Amino acid sequence: MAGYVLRRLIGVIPVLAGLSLLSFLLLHLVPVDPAEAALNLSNPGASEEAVQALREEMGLHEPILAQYGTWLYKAVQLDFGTSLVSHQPVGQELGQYLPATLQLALSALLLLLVMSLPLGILSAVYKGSWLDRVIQFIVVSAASVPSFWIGFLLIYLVSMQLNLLPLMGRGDWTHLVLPSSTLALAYASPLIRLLRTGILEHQHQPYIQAARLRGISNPKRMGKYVLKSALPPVITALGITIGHLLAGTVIVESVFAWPGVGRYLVESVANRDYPVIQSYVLLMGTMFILLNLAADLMCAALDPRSRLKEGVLP
Amino acid sequence: MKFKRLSMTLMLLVAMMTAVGCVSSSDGQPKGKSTESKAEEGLLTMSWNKDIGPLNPHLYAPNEWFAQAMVYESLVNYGENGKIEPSLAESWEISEDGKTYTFHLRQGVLFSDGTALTANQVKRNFDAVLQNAKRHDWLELIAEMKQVEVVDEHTIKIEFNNPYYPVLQELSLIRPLRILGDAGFPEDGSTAEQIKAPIGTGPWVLKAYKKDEYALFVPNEHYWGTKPKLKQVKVKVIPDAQARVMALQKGDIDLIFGSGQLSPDSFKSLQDSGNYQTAISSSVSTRVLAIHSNKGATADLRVRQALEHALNKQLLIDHVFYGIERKADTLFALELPYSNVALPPYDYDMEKAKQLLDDAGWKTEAGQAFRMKDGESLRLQLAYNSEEHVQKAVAEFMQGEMRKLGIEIELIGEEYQTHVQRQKEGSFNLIFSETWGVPYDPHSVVASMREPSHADYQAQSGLAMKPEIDQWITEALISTSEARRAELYKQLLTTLHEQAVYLPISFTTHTAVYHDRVSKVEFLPMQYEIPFHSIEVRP
Repeated sequence: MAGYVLRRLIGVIPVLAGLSLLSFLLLHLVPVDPAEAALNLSNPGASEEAVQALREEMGLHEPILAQYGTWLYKAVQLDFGTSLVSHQPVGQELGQYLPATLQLALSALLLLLVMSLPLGILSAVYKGSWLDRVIQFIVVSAASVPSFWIGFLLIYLVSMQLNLLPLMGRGDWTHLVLPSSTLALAYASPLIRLLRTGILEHQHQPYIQAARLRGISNPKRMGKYVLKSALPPVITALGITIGHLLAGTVIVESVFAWPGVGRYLVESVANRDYPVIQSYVLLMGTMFILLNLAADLMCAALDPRSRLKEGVLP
Repeated sequence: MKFKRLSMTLMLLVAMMTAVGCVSSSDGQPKGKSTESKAEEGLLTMSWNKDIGPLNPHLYAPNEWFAQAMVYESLVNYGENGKIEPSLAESWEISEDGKTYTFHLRQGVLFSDGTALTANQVKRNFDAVLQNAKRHDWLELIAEMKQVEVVDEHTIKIEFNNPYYPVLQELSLIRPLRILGDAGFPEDGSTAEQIKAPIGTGPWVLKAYKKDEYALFVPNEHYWGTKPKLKQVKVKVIPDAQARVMALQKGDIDLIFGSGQLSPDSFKSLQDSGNYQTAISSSVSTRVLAIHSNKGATADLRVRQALEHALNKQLLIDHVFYGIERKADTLFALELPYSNVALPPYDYDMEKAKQLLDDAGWKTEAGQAFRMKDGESLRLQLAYNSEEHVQKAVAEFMQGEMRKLGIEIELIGEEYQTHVQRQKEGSFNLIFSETWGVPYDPHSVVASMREPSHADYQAQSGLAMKPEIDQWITEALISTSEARRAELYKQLLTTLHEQAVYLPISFTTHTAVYHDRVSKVEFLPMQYEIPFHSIEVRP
């Protein structure tokens, strides 16, 4: 097992290197470079000489691969450079915004689990009943409307009409409820559906029938056998969903005036702040890979067959 | 049976969680309730779409204009009707040749940290800006500045290369020539990257700040002028326009001020609700379409004139702007310096527009949706900034109107930076542009027409008299004769109007929407200042 984890961890390095190179090259393909962007924002515009001077100051006159090399050399020493806009170290700036996003993502994850596990199980157990239909209706609706719309709807109903929760901004836990519900609602649908399908698929497998014949009670059969087989795809999906919760908060952050990393990224893209964008991509890439790995390990723990497939079992 | 019990338990659990969530959230409710902004006396809460930035007086974005103007002051102020008023300088003299300005600083002015304003400190600020001159090369004043000299503790002399006439206007700008206190300068003395602390002489001091969340300003107790009535100003960052409206409706904020902070639709609906005070300023700048005189069909003067006649501006003003922006027929509002030139407007006249297109050879043909000439159909590119909803609305209106005339308009909506790039490259037939407002209008806008990196230059590039136009501008900026300058401006504005390289649409305005407890919201002449000094609030 330890060898397997180590092999997977080593596999992360080329993936990250490829990711950073690709994002670096793509960034430089985007029209308008940071020097021009900075001067464009300083409305009214500037001359070509001013752009050239700023380019040199920012080190943009060097060949792209040389720039990438410099960046990589520093990045492996955990120096992610300084923002071209604020002149602050990128690591420090990300550190300022990340807690808000982590807080939002974690509470959304909690809500997501609380919502999707019971609903998924219920709709499978009562397949075809009115309850199942209601849940399916909610699932399809939540998946069909954009999250900013859900956000506004929640603000309008809960905060403005009922006056139960604060409108926006970051503060105590009451500020968390609406934005994290909005985020959770957007991602709950696929999980609920996956869980439902998984349970339905395994419910009538011969080994479950055998368990039933052996007189194992309904809840125990569900908990110990059906769920155990139905969960792995849900866990894999969850791993990716957590990544999305972290990286997909931009719109929710904007609607709820949440000072998170998503808004920081959007602003940095508008300003073509290369070091920030590059570090963000690397950070999110690493998170996705680690979450994926964690999900795989959990699946392996639940299902010995997947360990066999990966050659983990001796 | 047992199976059902499990499900029932699960269902109960969900129901309970929901209930608990609701109950406890209503417990926590008073904290987050709308009373927040009213609790403290003399507190005005305003929303803004961005963080205020690091408050560096010598730099541009991400510093927000209005916040810089709260903390820092310049030597002179731009007052009503363009009158230059004393500020940190109490009086000044201009030499005969118009090249030397001597400023007498106001006595007893203190920075917010209690240190005194001296001529040395002013020089230090000017030098810091000059050190970074490349960054400011769009501003003629910096290029013209030869040297800054301290005469005595309260007198400073600035020498210029040429008798550049708008010196005082440009000194009044919010950036880059406002004065930072000694404690604000970093060790190396350069403000080109950052400052140490926002110490100014202005009426406000930054008291608390959380990046991307809020900024809290309190009055500067050392301020030399009339102190503001407000005790605190809180600027809340709310990036989404619709969210700002909801925050106002809930009472989380007292005021939404500025241009672009509210869509015309939101303004209208808030106004119609009757629950709020609303106000619209006088003209701030001009919203125009620049027409490329050297590209495709618009290289023909008759096509440009047809476009001018074909736009029903009044309909646009009534239905897109709801009267918030006023109709414009000239590049600059007539009340601006040197801009009161009698120019016959291009009236809305479809027949005339059709005639002009026919004359230009663009004819309607059977079976063709658009006008044709030499086997090509009449197709124009109209570029807009996709982040500006108003531009998009105007562009779509234009597309519909021109279709009636047999012109196909291809809309190109791009994010800001790419849009600016397109302006510079001149790859458009029509592109949105805006003048810069006072004190830039008209002289800075006119000066920039000579720069190839501006949409104006690109639009004018096909005119036979472009070299003369540039000469007139250069001469007007350094002419010492008032009459000659007025004559040059007249010549310039008339030519641009006759050549139809600008299609003026509307004069932009500021809007303000606020709760009844707020009063005395006045509009200031400079586009980016917010009148916190006059605003009052009731508890």
